[in-house]
Amino acid sequence: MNSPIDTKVLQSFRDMMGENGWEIVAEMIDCYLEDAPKLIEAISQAVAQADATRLRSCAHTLKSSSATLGATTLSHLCKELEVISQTENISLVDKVPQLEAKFAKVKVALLIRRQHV
Amino acid sequence: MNTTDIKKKSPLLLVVDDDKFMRLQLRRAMEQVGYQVAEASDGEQALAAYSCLNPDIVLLDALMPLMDGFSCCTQLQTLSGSDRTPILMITALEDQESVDRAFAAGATDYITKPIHWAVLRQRVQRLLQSSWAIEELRQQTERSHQSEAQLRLVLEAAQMGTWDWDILQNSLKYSNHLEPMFGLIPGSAHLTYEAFLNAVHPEDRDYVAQAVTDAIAAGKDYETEFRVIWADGTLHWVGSKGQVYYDNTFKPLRMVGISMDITDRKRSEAELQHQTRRSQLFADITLKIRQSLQPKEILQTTVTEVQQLLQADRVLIYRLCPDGTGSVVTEAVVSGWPVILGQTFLAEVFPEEYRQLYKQGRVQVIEDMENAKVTSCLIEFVQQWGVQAKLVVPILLKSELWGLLIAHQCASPRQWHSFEIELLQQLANQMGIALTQAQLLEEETRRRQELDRSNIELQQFASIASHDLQEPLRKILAFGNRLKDKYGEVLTDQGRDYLDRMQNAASRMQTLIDDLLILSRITTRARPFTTVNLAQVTQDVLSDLEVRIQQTQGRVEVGELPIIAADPLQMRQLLQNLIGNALKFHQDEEPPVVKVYSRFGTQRQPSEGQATDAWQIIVEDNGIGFDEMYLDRIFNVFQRLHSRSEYEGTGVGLAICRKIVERHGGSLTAESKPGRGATFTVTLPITQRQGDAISEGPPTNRHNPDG
Repeated sequence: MNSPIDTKVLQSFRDMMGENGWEIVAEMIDCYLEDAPKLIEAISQAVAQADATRLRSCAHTLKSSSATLGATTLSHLCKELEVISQTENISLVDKVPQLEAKFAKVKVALLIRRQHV
Repeated sequence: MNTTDIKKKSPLLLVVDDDKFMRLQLRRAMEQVGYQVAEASDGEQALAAYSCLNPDIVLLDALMPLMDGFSCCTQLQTLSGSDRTPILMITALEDQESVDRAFAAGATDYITKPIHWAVLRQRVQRLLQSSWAIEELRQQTERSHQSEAQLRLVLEAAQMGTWDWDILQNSLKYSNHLEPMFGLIPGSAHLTYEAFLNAVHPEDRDYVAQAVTDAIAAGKDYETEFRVIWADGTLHWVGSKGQVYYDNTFKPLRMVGISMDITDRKRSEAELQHQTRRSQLFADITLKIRQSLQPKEILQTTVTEVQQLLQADRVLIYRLCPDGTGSVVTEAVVSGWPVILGQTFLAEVFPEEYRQLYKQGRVQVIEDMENAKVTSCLIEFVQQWGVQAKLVVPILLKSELWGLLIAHQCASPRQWHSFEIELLQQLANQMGIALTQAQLLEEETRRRQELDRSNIELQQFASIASHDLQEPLRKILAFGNRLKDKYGEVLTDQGRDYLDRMQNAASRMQTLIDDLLILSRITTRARPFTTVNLAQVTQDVLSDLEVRIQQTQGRVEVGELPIIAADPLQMRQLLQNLIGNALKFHQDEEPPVVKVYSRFGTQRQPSEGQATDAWQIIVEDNGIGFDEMYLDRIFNVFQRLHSRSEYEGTGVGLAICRKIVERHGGSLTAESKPGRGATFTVTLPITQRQGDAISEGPPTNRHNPDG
């Protein structure tokens, strides 16, 4: 899966929103791009402080919003973090850089999308 | 309900999620299909927003920091209206535990993430629809409870009960109020139609059953009134109305209706009917009693009518004599029972003390002679005529006990109703009045007959006496004259003086008798009325009086005088007397001036009351007049205000005048003052009534004062 964004998901999301679908999608992208860095930062801190609850919560949130906008790979990564927060010793987790890298790609892809709108 | 309806109603959705992205997503998704959206980012906010916004539905994220969705859901349940607001929890797809917790916390439903938008919208819509449906149902139930409560209140107030007959099952249900109407204790209602019908009075059963059949067959309203007999034997009236319900094939399913106790109404209706009938009867009988003025008829009518009215075996009237004895004077008795009519009873039968009681209006009511609280001898006494019950009311005439009105029941004892007693009393009162009137009439008739008789006798006497007195008087005058002619010279002066005086006296007596004859003959020898010209009559009178007018140097002025219907000779007599008097009673130094004239006026007949047109004939003089205090006297026979030596005359003249005027239906009055002349006014009706024109006595060819 090369593209960081599953355009089909985004397309169906737009369709579902109806008439002003693209405007809403744009608004959603703005919201996502604003929130996601904070969540990634929070995840990074939670891992550092070994705060499982916070990790789980933030990963869960980022998982679903990412899935909504078609950032399927990012969403899957978040899900892994969520599962780890419940089962493994989170101090051993080293997925934050990977998360940040994925998000950087998603961000670019979304910004391009946003410009099309 | 479709989305259009949702748009129209624009339901308010409260989105509770800590994730801003999620909230935005939900808001936009739902706004797109017509919802209004409010947001809360945590549990506390959610509770506050819920309380002040009253959302129609809550979308609640299960996983939130601080207060998670489950606690929030639990707390939402405690807020008012929460039972009506659906809560849709958003949980993770794979998390069965969360789903269980969501329902345990009171969520209405759940939806999993990632959210499938179509599913969300469908679910929200369904939840709202069912919520609304439940709400509507709840309101309907509430309303129906309310109206049921109101209906129950009204039915209770109206003392009505409801019934519901399932025709297919033949089972009958009563409301609490209905059982007492049938005299049943609560809970013992009739279970079937037949049981109900059995409770209806046997005489009413057929028409009640018919009414039910008709209502079912024709689909019309059932409405009837019937009697029921309670277990205690008392009779009650029930009014009932109902309606039949059918299925599609016009098959009767149910009959539902109300019933109410109408005993009081029926009772007052019956009482009213009785009263009307009673007063009608009373009026009828009273009329019959009062129509007669014959005592015998009054008594007979009363006993006959009362006997029929009361259906008594015997009704009689016991007449009480002043000495205490009494007799049965009238009786109406059913054949087969002894007749008492005509029997008389000694004073001992009816002691004075009893008479006093009855005089005070006492009524004796005996329902059963055997058990009556009266002396055994009285019981024996009345039992000889088979009397078993009796009713006695007094008949009072001007507060005197005249007799008794008695009703007997012979076949059996009898309970006398209060209205029967009252009726008998009232009829006895009416009898008293009728008898009093009859007595008065009798007395009045007797008096009038006596008066007529004595009047006729008196007139006959006057006429005969006057006539028979003439003969000896003529002889006295005739022989007196012969004595004077033949032996006048032989007599001494004194003898001649005696003779003169005797003859003067005889002449006066002659005049007196003449006048009396005239007076008595005004009615006995009257002539029929004809047309009389009073002006002509006056001229005749004046020529008769010519000598006197010349002697007194007097003058008579005659004005307009009418033509009237009258007895011509009597009119002449009337004017002769009045004008004669006017000339006679003149002042010494002043010649008489007499005015005779007429004018138009009215008179009031004592019997008629209203004024009728009349002529007034006036004779006015300038003579000596008289004091009006003697007014009553001057018209009476032999009444004179002056001595014979002053003014000649018999004192009969004005009495004749008055009698003539009265015979003509008029009146004669006078006005005067001593020394100022006198005015006599004759008032005569313009039209003489029928019958006046017919003379009361045998007509004579010519009225002759000399007989």
